[in-house]
Amino acid sequence: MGEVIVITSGKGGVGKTTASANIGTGLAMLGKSVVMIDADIGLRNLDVVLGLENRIVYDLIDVIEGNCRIKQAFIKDKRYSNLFLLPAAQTKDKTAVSPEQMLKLCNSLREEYDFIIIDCPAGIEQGFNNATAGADRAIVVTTPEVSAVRDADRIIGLLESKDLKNPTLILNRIRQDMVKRGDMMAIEDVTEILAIDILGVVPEDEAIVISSNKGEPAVTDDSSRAGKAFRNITKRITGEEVPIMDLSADRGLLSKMKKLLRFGS
Amino acid sequence: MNNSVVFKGRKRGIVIVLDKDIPFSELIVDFKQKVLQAKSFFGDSKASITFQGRALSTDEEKQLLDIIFKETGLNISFVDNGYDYKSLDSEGYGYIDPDENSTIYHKGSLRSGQAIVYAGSVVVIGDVNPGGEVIAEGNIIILGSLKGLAHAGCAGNKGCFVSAYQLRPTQLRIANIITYIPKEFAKKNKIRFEPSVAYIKGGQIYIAPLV
Repeated sequence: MGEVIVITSGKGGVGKTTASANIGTGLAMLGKSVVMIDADIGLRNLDVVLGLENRIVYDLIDVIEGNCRIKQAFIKDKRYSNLFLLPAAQTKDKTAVSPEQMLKLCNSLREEYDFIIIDCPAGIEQGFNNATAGADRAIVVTTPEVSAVRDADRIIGLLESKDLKNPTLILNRIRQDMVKRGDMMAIEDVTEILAIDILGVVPEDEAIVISSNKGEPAVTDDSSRAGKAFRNITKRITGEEVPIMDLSADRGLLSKMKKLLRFGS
Repeated sequence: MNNSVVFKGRKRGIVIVLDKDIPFSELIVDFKQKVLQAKSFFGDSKASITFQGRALSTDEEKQLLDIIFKETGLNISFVDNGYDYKSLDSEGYGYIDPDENSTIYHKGSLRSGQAIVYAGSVVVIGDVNPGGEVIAEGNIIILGSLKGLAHAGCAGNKGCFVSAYQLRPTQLRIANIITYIPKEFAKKNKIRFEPSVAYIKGGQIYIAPLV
């Protein structure tokens, strides 16, 4: 029996789609069978981030309207044969699907796959209701900004009212140097407000922008720090205990040089 | 649902699309059934009839017309057996829509999420961005860059073509053939996206420069 996980945030642009792509790919790297569903109908992105947009023939709406069988709409990932994407329609809008239909879809997929990852659209309206309808658990993504944390708090409240208790948190795009200077909220500041378990902390990393543009999730990149953070997150999802990575660790040539110079003086 | 006989209402009259694969004896049974179902749709109007999809002998055509005469009050103004066996199945470009009124023009670009779906040919005066779609039963001509999806001959006509000033679609479909240009391939082979036309040749989509 598989698990349906919805990745949500309330606010847009905090990294839901990036997190979905990396978690889905990361779970597939661990050998799990994974289906990723893009629930952001009308503003689909997950296919682009995964580099699969040119293979789309059928989409979520075609499946729900019965124009094709579920498996016809699945796009098999380029790298992992146990990873599938069910893309959203681009020319429709959120009202084309109802929560009942999503629930039915999730329940039929649950029987065959280990994980179903749903990329939720921003907002708290119908798109959110659709994406969360079939979920067993929720992962809330936020960045260390007051506005994102405020929206995350609202989302956690809504999830709890939908019986999705105990959502976990991914704190994305954290910059340790700014935290140190006191210019950015620290992990503790965020968890104090939201009071939910933290699933992972992802540092700001240029590799994310590069990998999104290339259509290859950072989780596959051994040299990327954000990739490592996502690998840890996927391990935690499967139940393994992995400590939160040390964000103050040296990064890049520049900081190493600085350290060397300081040592010399 | 039996689709061996399909009626389509057009500006100029009624188009009847016939399956070319089943035997005529079966087709005529389906035809009669469809005519009975469509009786009220026909009314006692006056219309022209075009048979498409199958080559009919004079005798076969007469049998089909007799059914319409007998079962409905339709007043047939003229019959156009405009079926050219080559036009539906033959590959290569050069398909010209028989109905000169069936091309629509769209001025302006199609952005992500916008789509034109039309039972004829489509001319877009502007770009089609990634995420935009043009789906046509006939040809597609884009006076701009095609960066989104284009599907020409979506009802199965393999003679349809897609042309654009810059032909670099996310995905390209003609009739039942789907293709795309892999990004890596385009980069490695330094493909220059010049005014081109895409059509079916040898069971594959073939792209040729348009000059």
